[in-house]
Amino acid sequence: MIRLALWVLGGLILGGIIHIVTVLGLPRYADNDAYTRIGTFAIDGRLTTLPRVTPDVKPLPMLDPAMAHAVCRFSLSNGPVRIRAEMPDVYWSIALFNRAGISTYSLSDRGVEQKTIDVLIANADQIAAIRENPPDDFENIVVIDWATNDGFAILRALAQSQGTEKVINDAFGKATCATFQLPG
Amino acid sequence: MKLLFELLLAMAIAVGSGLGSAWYVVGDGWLLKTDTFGEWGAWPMSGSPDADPYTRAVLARTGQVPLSQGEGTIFFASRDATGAAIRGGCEYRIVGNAPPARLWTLTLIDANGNLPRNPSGVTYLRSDRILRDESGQFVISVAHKARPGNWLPLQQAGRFTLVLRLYDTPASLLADLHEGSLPRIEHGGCE
Repeated sequence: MIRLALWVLGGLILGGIIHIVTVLGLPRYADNDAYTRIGTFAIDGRLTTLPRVTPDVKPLPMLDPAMAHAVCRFSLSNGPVRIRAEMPDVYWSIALFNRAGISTYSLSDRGVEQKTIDVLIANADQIAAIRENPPDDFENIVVIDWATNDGFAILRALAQSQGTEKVINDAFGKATCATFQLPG
Repeated sequence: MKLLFELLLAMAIAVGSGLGSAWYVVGDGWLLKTDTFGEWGAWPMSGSPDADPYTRAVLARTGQVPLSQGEGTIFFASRDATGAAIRGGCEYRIVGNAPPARLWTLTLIDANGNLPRNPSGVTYLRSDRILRDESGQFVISVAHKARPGNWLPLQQAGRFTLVLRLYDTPASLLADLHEGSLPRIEHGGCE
């Protein structure tokens, strides 16, 4: 009886290890995470406007049907990435996520008190290079220290009416999300 | 023979308890809704840079893009005030007020995260278009058939979760809330 109880106990301990390995390993082996999904319909380094969420259209899970969305995957391999957009006078926000879909930074229209999104994502080395030789409009750029090599951004804007939705989509269309060439 | 049996038993227990418990936590992620107020639950870790391993696993598995902490807070409710699951074909009244936010939206999603299908085409309500009484309180009817006043259409069948998204909320929102800060979900009978 004791012998059987020890086997059961051993099984439970091994079960605990399997539990931990499964939970920790899931992000590494998930083939359907947000970063991968965005890669199936969007070109990297370009802002892509998403279709509005309806009962039949779900570009990504858990998006608000009241909002217009645009996404962009980026990589710092060829230099820092600058995201620029002239937003209309509606509620909007931009959030940055790392490769694992963890939110690391966000900014909303209230935070900047201006309608321009101008964000520069750079790693420590790139920030050092920018500081040495700053571009002309550097004061107006929000520089974000990025710990990893890639990630994605999502822009949300309240589509108050069909008219506003058109203005928002125009703003998304003109927005950029591309590698920023350092001057010099 | 006895050893083989014992070995198989231990392996079965290991795999069953290990994968079973992992699925229990990361399956629908409801256990991670750590901040509950009555029927409503929020998952603040989903939009945090310090997300725990369970949150990371659920985000990776579902592929959802959560609201960042700085963007706002989402409350979910899949049961009414009586504790019964929210179902299509039934009627609910959401009564009270929403926590402080610049803007909020209310939607329904089914078990697969899809919006309910309804001939009206309405899939969400927005705080700036909600009818309120003199004291600022609102009543929202959640039903398959059209209702006067604030109406959020529901399907005829299936299980649903109410999703209340608050945008631009105060940073201390969850710490300052109590059960009465969120609207009640009253059951109004089924067809």
